[in-house]
Amino acid sequence: MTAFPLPVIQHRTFDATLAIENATLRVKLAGTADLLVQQQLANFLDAVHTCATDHLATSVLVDLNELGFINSSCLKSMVSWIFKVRTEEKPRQYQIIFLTDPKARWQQRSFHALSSMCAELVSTQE
Amino acid sequence: MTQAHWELSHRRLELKMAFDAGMVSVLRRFVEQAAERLGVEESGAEAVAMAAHELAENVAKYSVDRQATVSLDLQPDGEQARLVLTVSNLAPPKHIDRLRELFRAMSETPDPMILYFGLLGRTVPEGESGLGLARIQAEADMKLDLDVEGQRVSISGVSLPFTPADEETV
Repeated sequence: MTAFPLPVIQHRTFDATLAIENATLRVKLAGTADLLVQQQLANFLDAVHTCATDHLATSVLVDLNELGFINSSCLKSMVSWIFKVRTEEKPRQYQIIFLTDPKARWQQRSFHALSSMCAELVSTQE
Repeated sequence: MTQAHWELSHRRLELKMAFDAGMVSVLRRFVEQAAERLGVEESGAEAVAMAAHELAENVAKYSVDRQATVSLDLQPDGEQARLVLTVSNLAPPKHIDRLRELFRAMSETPDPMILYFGLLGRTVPEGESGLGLARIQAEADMKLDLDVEGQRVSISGVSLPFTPADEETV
């Protein structure tokens, strides 16, 4: 249980949810992350970061299996999130693990690029 | 109001339409299916579709009237073929200047990933950063070209070579 409502996005074309499982947070992204939701996604990721640092989470799993597409602006919001984690003090840092859909090769390209920008904190898994 | 007009002749598809944020994804899905139908393998079709999405978003954000012509041309390359995606629209002079700067930067940066990572990591507000164009070159392996005539801007991207589908299946 949390003392505050967990962030969520419910849009016609895109959903984002957050669940807390002990020291791990689980984010699920589904649909199309594009111009229509980019500000909402940026706000959502800010809220995920606040939640992760408040809970001293060790990792955040980001499930991309139902993500159909993400545009470059939304990828930039992901990078901003990664940089926020990197600038935290060590005890408040956490791992970000992108769970990609093996059938969606574009996800390997896009999210491998993100993980290679900050390999000590970010990784991808199928 | 959005109006679309399609021509299919000699393996050329052309779409003229107005782009708002919602129509961009419609175009992306259409381009992906058309590319697969022309013989581009799945990951290549995803790459061309991603390029179409990023270019169409730029039309929605920065063009004079949100109107654009999008074309897919199948060009022979030996026994194989390449798909040429072109997006053409009217743009304000300030945006054209920015595009010229970006294309100069892309031509001077030997590894497209370096420019892409640099733009992804910038902390200033996004604005006309060129992030979408840099992503196309870095992730889709598509070389981009810029052509400007007055206020009309055309950006073309060429796919990797592939074996085209038979005429009958297109």
